[in-house]
Amino acid sequence: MPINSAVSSDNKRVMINITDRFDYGLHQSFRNSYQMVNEAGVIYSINLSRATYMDSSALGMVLLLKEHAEKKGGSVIICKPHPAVAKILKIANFDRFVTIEN
Amino acid sequence: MSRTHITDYPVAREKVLVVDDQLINRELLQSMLVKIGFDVILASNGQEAVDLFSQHLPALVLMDIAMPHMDGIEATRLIKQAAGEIFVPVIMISGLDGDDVIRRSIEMGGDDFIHRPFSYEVLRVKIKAIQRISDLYREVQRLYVLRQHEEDIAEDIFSNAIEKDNITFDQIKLHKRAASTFSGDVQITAIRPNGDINILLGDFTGHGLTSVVGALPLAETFRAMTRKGYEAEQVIAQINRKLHGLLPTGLFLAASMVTMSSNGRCTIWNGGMPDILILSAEGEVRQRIESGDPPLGIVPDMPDMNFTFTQLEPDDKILLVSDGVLEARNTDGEYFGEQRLLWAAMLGCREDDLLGRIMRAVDTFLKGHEQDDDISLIEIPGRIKMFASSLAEPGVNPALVQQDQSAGWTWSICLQGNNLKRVNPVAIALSQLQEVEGPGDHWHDIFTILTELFVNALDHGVLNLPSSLKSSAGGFTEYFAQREASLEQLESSCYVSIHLTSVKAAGQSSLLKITVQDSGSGFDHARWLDRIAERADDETGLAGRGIMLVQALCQSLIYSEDGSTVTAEYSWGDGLMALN
Repeated sequence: MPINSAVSSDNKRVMINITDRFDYGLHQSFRNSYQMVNEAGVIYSINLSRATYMDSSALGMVLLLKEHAEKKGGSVIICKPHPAVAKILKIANFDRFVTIEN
Repeated sequence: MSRTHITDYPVAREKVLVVDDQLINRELLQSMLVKIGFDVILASNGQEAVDLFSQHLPALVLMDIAMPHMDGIEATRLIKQAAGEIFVPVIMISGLDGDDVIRRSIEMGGDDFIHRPFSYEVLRVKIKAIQRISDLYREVQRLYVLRQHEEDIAEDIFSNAIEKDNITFDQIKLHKRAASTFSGDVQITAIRPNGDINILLGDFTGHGLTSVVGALPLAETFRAMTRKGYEAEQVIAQINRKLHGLLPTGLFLAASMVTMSSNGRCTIWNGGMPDILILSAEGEVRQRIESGDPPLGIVPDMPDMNFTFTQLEPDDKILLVSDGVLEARNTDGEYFGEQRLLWAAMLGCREDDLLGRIMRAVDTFLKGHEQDDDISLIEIPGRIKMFASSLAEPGVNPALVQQDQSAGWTWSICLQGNNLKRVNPVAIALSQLQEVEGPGDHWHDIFTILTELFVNALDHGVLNLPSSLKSSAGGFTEYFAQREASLEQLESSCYVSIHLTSVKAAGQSSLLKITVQDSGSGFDHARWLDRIAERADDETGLAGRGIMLVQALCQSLIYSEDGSTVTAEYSWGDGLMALN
């Protein structure tokens, strides 16, 4: 699967891993990976170290997750973006909305 | 919209084609199928099956595998080919044992497999299951056709309602090739009252219909504000506010915008688009403007946007591209990328066919592979020749201004401190004037006069910037940097006021008096005006031209209060004459 996710045992952290192309094709499965999580203060980390491509729909999907997270006082972190993806994030100046950890 | 029921298909679809070389098998199947409720067509070999299929277009095929001449596997392949986009399920039947037979049947295009001998009940439920898949498939196809239709409409809206209103200058070259799934690239151009041209290349998130939602408000805001003379920063801020209110989370607009003056000065902004390139005549990259802001519609306000001010050489070109160019993918999954773009751009500049060369390079690279995203290119030359006639808005009657010959009025605005940075009083004044006086050709003149006088008052009066800086192309950039910095430190005692008085004497053309006053300490205006007069023929001077222009447009231009107050008198209707 190009996307898989895991929830930590204390339910405070959701880790989403994406490989290959992060684009519109993942729309539904990306949503599914966090929709059921409704606890307060959850940190969602999206690991993009193995994603080689990201399109604008995917940027939009991250914003949707951010909205979902912040409604319950949580937050979103993008982890280790692959260079190709880091470039897309930079062009969109996404560091202004989401924490990006290299 | 009414929904076609998925089983509403021609009766011909309820036929079943039975293919078997054994008469006994055919007859057994026929009796079972008639019992279920089908019309049955019989074929005794593969070739006959293919012929009968095309003739009857059955809804289902039951295919024996082992047959002489053409076996069931080859016949299935040909039938699937003939069916094209229509889904015709084929159930393979064999008495042979083993995984291999099943594997081969399915791999060669069969949809299911029944092992002989089988009972009536097994056949009935197998057919039922496969009909469910058939129905689903038809539903998907129906939705697909529906969506395609809606996308065509979306594309129509784009080309007719939005891009049709673009000013047509053959000097600015626009090229767009939409992907088969329309992908939201939008190109808009419009002229400011002073003759500057605003050009925007945008790329909405998503594909198909969703990408069209924001296009109409985008185009309307862009055109209306450009026509009223607002600066790029204000146009972009307003588009951002509009889209933020309108678009749901996750949808936004990456965009780049260029404001181009006829003398080659330009203001460039990039929010989420690929680098904007300024190319020399030899095709070298002279300057690169990276994305300095996020795309529009994400945050409610965009403070401190990053603008690049630059001066183009006459032979320079600005190249704007959408990511569809860089991310065009060939069959090997390789991207077109920047290296190929730069190379094609260099050749294109030298051959004077920038966009054509790039598109040919993309096509050669794609080798017929379909593009996934819209591809947009815009080429803006270093100098744009403006003609007075092209400035007039279509459909505006330049003649008629005022009905009431005797009425006059006054209007004024005073901006203090921080508001000087935030508010554009010229656009406000102009829209007030248009409100009172109606449309007309003279607005271009008045816009120029107001802009020059306001900018002088702010830059040289309040901010005290030396205009000598502007006398070189490099200093021009420095000038804007200083200006930005000074604007950040405005004290509340700083002000610029604009006072407009319209005087209408009976029988004469009416007069507009424009007074601009600033909190600065003034300047030696007499000497300044003399110097300008001396240098009138000196084409290289970048400073002082604004005042010359204002002098040419006005009946009179008088400085007072040591130069911190200036009054211009403009006669309605005579403006364009004065230009000549």
